Amino acid sequence: MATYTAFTKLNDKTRAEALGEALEEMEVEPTGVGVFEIEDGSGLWEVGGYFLEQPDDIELALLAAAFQAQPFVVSEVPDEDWVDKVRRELTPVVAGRFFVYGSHDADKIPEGSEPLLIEAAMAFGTGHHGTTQGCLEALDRLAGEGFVGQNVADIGCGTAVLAMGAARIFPNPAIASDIDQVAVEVAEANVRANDMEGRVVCVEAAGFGHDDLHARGPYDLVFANILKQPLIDLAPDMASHLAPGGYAILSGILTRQADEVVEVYASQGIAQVRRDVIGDWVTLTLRKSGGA
Amino acid sequence: MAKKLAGKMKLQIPAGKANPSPPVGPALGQRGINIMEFCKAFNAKTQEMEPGAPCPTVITYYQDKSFTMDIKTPPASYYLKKAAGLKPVGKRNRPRGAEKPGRETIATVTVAQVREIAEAKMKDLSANDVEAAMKIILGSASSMGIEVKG
Repeated sequence: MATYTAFTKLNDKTRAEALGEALEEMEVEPTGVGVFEIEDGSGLWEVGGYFLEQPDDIELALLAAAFQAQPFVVSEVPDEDWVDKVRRELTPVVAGRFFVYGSHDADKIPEGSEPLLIEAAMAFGTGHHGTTQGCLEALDRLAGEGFVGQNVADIGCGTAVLAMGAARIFPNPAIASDIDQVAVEVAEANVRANDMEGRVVCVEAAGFGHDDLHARGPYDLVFANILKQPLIDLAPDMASHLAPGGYAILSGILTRQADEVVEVYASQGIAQVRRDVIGDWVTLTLRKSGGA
Repeated sequence: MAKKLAGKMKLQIPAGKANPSPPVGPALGQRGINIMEFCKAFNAKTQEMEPGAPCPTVITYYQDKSFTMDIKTPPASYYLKKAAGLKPVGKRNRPRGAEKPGRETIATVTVAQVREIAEAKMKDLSANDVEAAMKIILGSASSMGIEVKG
């Protein structure tokens, strides 16, 4: 069955969202409407509708003019196996010794790797982002240098991929927390899917705000792959929960934000050991003063 | 995790019946979102609803292809059509209202039915109480040519 899309671009988020709403009221009703930020630094937004019959060119032209958008481009959607297409695109991610994959790539696990099964679903941390990859690579590097984490926490865990990575290569269970209940449910499902029940404990918490997180500390390794401001807010708590000589692996920081985060953590006695960049994103490996 | 927004889309999907056919397949597939994981999660979340009820669903997706969904209640027109015993028409299973709203009545519903609809849709309406929500539903009924009695 032929289906159609009609897409346009414009340079303002508010107008883009308003155009998306206007599309829903077209005479030939779209079955779906999307408003997307174009990730090329252009500041443009893409607005489109999905139709089961060909939309009216004149109506689209009027809408484009009313919202100061570029002319709509109407295309017939190719009859494609979309499930298969997405699976081909969601390729496994290799980060150091870790191999993060979806179930459709279960037959591709390289020998000697540490496989982590993560479906791209309702929690961040699929491995398909520079921040997650950077944290896994930082973990791999620390372990390669002889560090053995005895007590690991993953704050803002998303899928819990980082906690599971640590629990795979270190002797003791890790604890993972997220402020988002859905993410915690996804994390728990991932722990089960990776046969790691008992190796990673998942709790719902904002930062370190959970009795289990307090009770288990201090930690010799803490991951926090969140965003700049939450990381800055977390710094005092990080200092109090990190053991002397313990490491913090932080990400979710844009390159231009890294100095500020480093400065705040340094003021808490947690100094930068290493800085890695993947795309626009920085991963910081920091160490608390004291210890061996 | 460092959620970085990549885009949002709104699709109308029948409760319990998400599958890779349009609009879900092309809309998600063109953005590289895991269609089967989405369908599984959507169908699980809507399993208590009336099967096939059209649910406007806002899908927010992130740079690493993870996503969240906000499933809204079916449109007021859907509930009104059901209450009035009108048959669904159109590709989106929406009822067509009167050709000349205000001058033509195509069906009737009761005030009690309007209240039920208002209560069902409360969470998605910008209304402080059921009475305010009922006014919104009455407006929808009027625009569809549905008369409210009783």
